Amino acid sequence: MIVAGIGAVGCAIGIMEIWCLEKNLPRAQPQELRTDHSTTIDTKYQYTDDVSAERDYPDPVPQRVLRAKKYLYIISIPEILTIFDSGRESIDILHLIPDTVVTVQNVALAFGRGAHMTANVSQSVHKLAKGAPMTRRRFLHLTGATLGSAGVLNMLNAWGQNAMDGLTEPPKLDGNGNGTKVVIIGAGPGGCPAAYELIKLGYDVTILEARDRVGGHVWTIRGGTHGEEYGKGEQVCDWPEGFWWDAGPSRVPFYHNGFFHYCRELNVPLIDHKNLNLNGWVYAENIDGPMNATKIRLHELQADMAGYTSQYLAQALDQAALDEPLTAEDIEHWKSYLINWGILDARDLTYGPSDHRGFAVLPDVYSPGTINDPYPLSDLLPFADTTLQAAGGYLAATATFDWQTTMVKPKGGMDQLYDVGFREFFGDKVKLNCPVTKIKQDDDKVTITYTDGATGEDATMEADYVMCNIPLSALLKVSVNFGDAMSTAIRSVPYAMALRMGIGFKRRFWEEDDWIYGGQSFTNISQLGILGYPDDNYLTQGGAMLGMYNFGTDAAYVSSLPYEDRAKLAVRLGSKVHPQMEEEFISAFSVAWHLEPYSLGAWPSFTAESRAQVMPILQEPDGRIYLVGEHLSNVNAWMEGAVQAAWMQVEKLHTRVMQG
Amino acid sequence: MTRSVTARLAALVSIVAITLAAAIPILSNAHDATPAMTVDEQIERGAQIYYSVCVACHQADGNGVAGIYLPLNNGAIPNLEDPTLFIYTVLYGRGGMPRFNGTYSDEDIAAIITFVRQEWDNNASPVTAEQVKAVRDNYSATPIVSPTPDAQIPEGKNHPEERQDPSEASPESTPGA
Ligand SMILES: Cc1cc2nc3c(=O)[nH]c(=O)nc-3n(C[C@H](O)[C@H](O)[C@H](O)COP(=O)(O)OP(=O)(O)OC[C@H]3O[C@@H](n4cnc5c(N)ncnc54)[C@H](O)[C@@H]3O)c2cc1C
Ligand code: HEC
Repeated sequence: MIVAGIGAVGCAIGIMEIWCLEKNLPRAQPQELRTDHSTTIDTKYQYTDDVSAERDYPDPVPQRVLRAKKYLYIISIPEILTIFDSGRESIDILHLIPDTVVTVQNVALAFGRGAHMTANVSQSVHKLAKGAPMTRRRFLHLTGATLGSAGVLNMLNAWGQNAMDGLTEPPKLDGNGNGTKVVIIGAGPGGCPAAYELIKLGYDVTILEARDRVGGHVWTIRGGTHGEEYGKGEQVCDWPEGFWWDAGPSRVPFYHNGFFHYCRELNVPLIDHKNLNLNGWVYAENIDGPMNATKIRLHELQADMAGYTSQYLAQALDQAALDEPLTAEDIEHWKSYLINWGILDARDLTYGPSDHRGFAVLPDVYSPGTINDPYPLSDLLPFADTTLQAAGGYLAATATFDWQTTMVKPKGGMDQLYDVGFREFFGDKVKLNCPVTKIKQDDDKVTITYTDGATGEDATMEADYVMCNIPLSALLKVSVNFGDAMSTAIRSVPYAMALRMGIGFKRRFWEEDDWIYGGQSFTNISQLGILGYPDDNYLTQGGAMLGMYNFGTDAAYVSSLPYEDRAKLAVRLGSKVHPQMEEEFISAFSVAWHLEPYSLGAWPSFTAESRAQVMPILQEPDGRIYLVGEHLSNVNAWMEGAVQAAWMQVEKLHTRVMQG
Repeated sequence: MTRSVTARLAALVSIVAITLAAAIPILSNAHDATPAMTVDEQIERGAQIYYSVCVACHQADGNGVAGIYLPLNNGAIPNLEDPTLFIYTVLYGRGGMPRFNGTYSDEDIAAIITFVRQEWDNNASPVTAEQVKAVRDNYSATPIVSPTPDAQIPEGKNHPEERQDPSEASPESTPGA
């Protein structure tokens, strides 16, 4: 018997998770699953022993009781489609494990936030498994039959046939700038693509950057990195070779195509950013009940909450207790869904112990292991409710559109796109250590005054136009003869506070002791927030993790401390989750973005109202000066916003120049 | 802000105001039941907030960082007889100065401001929660202050229908990263 559901969200991002749950199998050998498309299917492989014997099931075992998680594959839809394109008859993995219960779900779905119903597609997958010829067309057809048009749309989407509406590439512009002089002020995620496109269009471009690096808020910290916040003195990072950690942007959602465009253009390889690792810890304190100041695994929390929620809802459905106009079929599907999602006992619709949520003692060569009991519901509720919304809702966010798995980032640090990719492309067109202090425009030119990093002297430069990438907060510190409307608009956007700390450790205790490979742990310790683990170089000697991430008044408070005291605080708080911290500590590097020169804040903190009023002004040139940067975009606090703003402003400027 | 720009934006803003109206709690009513603090209590509470939050930028001596975090000691705004611009700045921020309208109650904001107005070399009158509420009610978050802030008081509110200010927690203001 085969049961499957396809998470609509998963389709949209082109990722499917396939849980293969076996039953009635002879003792399975852990086997490598191979196909002749070894690049297409091998992403993840997990094996656990069969422990179904632990429970006393009626015979025949009801198909809905899924017990032994055997294999976990992650495969993207484009990958599946590649298989089809290659003319294969069917998807191999379904053949490889005979007599298998297969569920296909999205992580978000399993977590319970993406309340997208899955459809029972047992028939379809059955056919699939039996090797009926499979083509793209047929796959879509099956999807349509089981998921409806939304499913097909998502599928097409993932396939690149009918993408969600949105900007995916720079505007296609004709004509040549013929050496028109443009000075770009600031080499951040806004300034870089603006400069790149203008250079390609034949403009004479110079980039003046205040810092000694390209990237702005994009800042990868390694041994040797130095920083100096206002009022705090210098800090130098002394991590060993090979450690890296992003103090600013660290992850990119699947739909930030502008960012991906430049990764492609500049050959920057990407890796996964594991926003969600179900083996990460969840910790809550100052809550009611016995779970106060305890940590549990995210997979336990998730299994229990899905289980109890399913139990109560399924029982209500069973007693027709919901005052909803549901057909008998609706109820059956919904119940069946809940049984599979919450791992309920199909006989009495109750949630109970199962290996789905993990073990107290792992199965091994000597024993079938010991299953853990779920946490009692009323103990768990304060814990679950608190942690889901804690620290800015980070845990809840892992199941949302922007933050869903899989997120990505450049291999080796976000700066690989900026301080390597763009910087090499620009060559000597980018002048580092050149903070601009004054911009003065008149009818036919703009005069820029800056401190020349090479000489330390004031210097000036003339340009036909300026593209100014300085964040509005820092722009207030530069003398510019803007008109009244622009000046007022710039003044009316406050910036938010945020502090992030990277901590270098001698040993990867989170991997060695806690078996956490990448991803995050979530706490409700307000000054601590989340912990983030390196997503690469597993099981190597030591590494740097995100040891603190906070906002608002928490960030203000922590930032008021000297660097060393911030680190002590982080280690003290973080030890509640990882007691190994003190022992393994090497050193920390913290960045309070509201104290960083040339940033003066984390991101603009718009309201719907201020956005509506101010944005149209910021987006229009003031004389010969065009602003560019994330603050011009609705994609707030993402690099993508800066990319799109650059495309918008380049198009406006080029159109104007072409019209003479 | 010129008239023509205001006019151009008016239509947009009223649409936004409608969608916001239902969602945003009126923060200023949250503490109606609390009896007013004495000035001493205000200074104690104000000092507590100042030394855990404002101090990060304006420093313990209130002198800030030259040219960046403007001085509150002997500062132009703190010592103005009329506290409107001070209240306005703490509520709605400006550039590197964050906004605190969603963080603190009227009482707390009055306490911080009273503390600053009486600390160091400053010597200005205490501020009440009612005065803070009046600024919340009469001035919208944007746009606002004239380009030369220390000389001028904010213009009056632009649109009567959008008095409530979204708290920092409003979904629209939640950034991606
Ligand atoms: C803590 C944090 C986490 C984030 N996480 C993510 C994430 O995970 N994913 C994501 O996509 N985005 C994230 N972001 C948002 C991202 O950093 C911004 O959207 C992006 O950096 C904005 O780019 P920008 O070009 O507008 O501004 P900036 O990055 O600020 O670039 C502006 C440039 O101007 C330069 N400059 C400033 N003043 C002067 C001067 N006077 N003279 C010359 N040059 C000057 C600066 O040095 C800088 O290089 C995060 C931001 C923060 C603070
Ligand atoms: C993140 C840093 C930061 C924090 C925290 C901060 N401020 Fe500010 N503040 C600034 C900056 C930057 C400016 C100047 C804004 C500009 O560039 O015009 C400023 C300006 C001001 C001004 C206007 C001064 C003038 O002369 O125009 C006042 C008043 C003020 N802050 C009060 C406060 C109070 C009270 C607090 C605590 C509740 C506080 N600030 C917290 C950064 C900060």
